Amino acid sequence: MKSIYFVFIIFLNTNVFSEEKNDNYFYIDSDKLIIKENPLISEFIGNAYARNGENHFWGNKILVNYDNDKKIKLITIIRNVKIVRPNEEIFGDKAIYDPKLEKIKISGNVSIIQDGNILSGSELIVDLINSTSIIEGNNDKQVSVKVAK
Amino acid sequence: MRKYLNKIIIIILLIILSLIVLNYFNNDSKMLETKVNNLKETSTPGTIEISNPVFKNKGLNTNPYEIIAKKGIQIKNNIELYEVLGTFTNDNGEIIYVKADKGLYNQINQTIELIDNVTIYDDMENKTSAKFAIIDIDNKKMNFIDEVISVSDTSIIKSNSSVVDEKNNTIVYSGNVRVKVKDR
Repeated sequence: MKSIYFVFIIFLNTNVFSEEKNDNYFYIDSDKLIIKENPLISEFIGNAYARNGENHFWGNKILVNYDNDKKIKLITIIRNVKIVRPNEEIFGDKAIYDPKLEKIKISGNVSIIQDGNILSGSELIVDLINSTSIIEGNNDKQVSVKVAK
Repeated sequence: MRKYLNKIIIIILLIILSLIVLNYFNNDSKMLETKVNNLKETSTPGTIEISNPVFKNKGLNTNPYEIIAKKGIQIKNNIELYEVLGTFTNDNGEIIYVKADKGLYNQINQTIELIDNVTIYDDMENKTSAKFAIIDIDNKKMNFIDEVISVSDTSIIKSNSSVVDEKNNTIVYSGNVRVKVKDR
């Protein structure tokens, strides 16, 4: 565990949830969409972009897994991931968004830009309910912080 | 004059007979029933106008389907259809309804091209509309082209084209795909 470094960042932004709760839809655009059944999966390929409330997601590919009621269970964004939320931008190789838990897990070359400060690590977990983000590093990539003067 | 009339009647009968024979050999395994009412020669040579044509397949090798139209014009193996209404039963036994202003039914290839105001829907309130569609009955594929919009109770999908492949259980939407889906 010595090799793992944690940095806890608390974001206090009261406006983050108000619009999200009013918007019960996900908007997703892409060049191509493949829907497969049993289990139901939607695969958005090429210039994939998704929006939910104030959260914006970009990636080469977006996978949407559904539950038995055909409601979104999990959203996975793959390659060249960019997430834009109020006052922050997040980059990584892969992101998994759980709409029920309202958590986003970003992994692989993660960096987060907030108020000009840049934090880098290997994994980031954004908790949309508690408005907290946890960035982790590992042996290969320790957490680094670049603070804007 | 009477001799000339007799010749016309013989020609019409020969055309009808050849169509029946052709239809029999092309569709003998598919039990295709075609109700042809009020046959009459149209102004274009080699074409036959059919009022209220009905094409039925009870499904030995394919799923059952029925296509009806207000008017049909047979040109060789193709039948131009006007005000098309169709019902297709998929592998799960669900009925899919088809509507279009115009259609072109190819009896040999077992394809139906649908043109203008194409709408396909089911009893679960899933509905897809497009300007143009091709139904490949044997391969269980539906191609939708131009201004494709699919609506269900949880989502709306818009794209330039779409292919529904029942054999592989996939639907592919291509070009400017835009989706609105309920998140929970």
